[in-house]
Amino acid sequence: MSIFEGLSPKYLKSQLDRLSNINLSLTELRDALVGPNNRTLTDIYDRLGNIGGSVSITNFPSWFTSSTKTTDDILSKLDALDNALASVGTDKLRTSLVDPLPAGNNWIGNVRVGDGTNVAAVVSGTLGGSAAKLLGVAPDLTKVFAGGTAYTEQEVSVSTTEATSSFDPPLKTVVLTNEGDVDITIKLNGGSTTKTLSARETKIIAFFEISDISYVVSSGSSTLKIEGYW
Amino acid sequence: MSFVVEYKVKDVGKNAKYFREKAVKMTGIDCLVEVHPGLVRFRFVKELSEKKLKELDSFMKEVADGVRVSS
Repeated sequence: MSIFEGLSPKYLKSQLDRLSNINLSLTELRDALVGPNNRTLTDIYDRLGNIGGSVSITNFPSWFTSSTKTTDDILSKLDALDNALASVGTDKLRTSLVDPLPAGNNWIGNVRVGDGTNVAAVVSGTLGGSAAKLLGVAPDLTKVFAGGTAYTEQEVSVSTTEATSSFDPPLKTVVLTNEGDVDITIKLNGGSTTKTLSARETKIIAFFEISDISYVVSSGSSTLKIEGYW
Repeated sequence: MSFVVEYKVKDVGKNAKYFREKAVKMTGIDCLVEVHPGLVRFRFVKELSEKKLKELDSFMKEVADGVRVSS
């Protein structure tokens, strides 16, 4: 006789009904499962935050267009960004922003840059103020009055052989003084028109760009003083 | 404040525009240039390094037998 033959069906049913109340959760037994090196489910749980390698991640922003979205893809994007930034550098900024500026005076509109000019003072200058830049051909008054950095002065000997002084950028205002006793014949900018600068005379040429001043006397010699503002 | 460099030169028929273009290309620093008989004057917008100054010296020596007289 088997053991079941001695149990009443009613008793068996009541025992089976109790099975439904068994707690099948293994929570309490979680750390009872021990793997190699005494690793438990808790160890696995703790290390989920430190997973390396290729992990598929969801909820990426729409602009991330890679068909796969793994940590390798992210690293690839970051590498591309790193390379792009490395190629910018100061040289890139210089060649992109500075070099395209017009050569020469470095004018942006009526504002001169790149040589220490106080741009704000120039822009906010008024007609009555010493910081005003009235016209494009006017000398940079901010410099004239702030130490004369855009001012030059030179005395040249004038003989019966025509000679030339040249300026680049051209002067915008010139003061010519004949310091000798012989008239000097003047030509400007390579033109053929002559002007006479009499002995001991001073002429001021303003608001007119001058790149060349040629001078000669018909006899004897003289001294020409050239003062100019850029 | 400008950095002035002057050379005594032989007159070789070069004007200020020529010297300025060469100097700016050589040094990378803008300048105002005036050329008078026997004299070339550069007014750089900032100080030149010794290396660039020597390069300019060499250039001026080559094209105009220039000798620096002040800087």
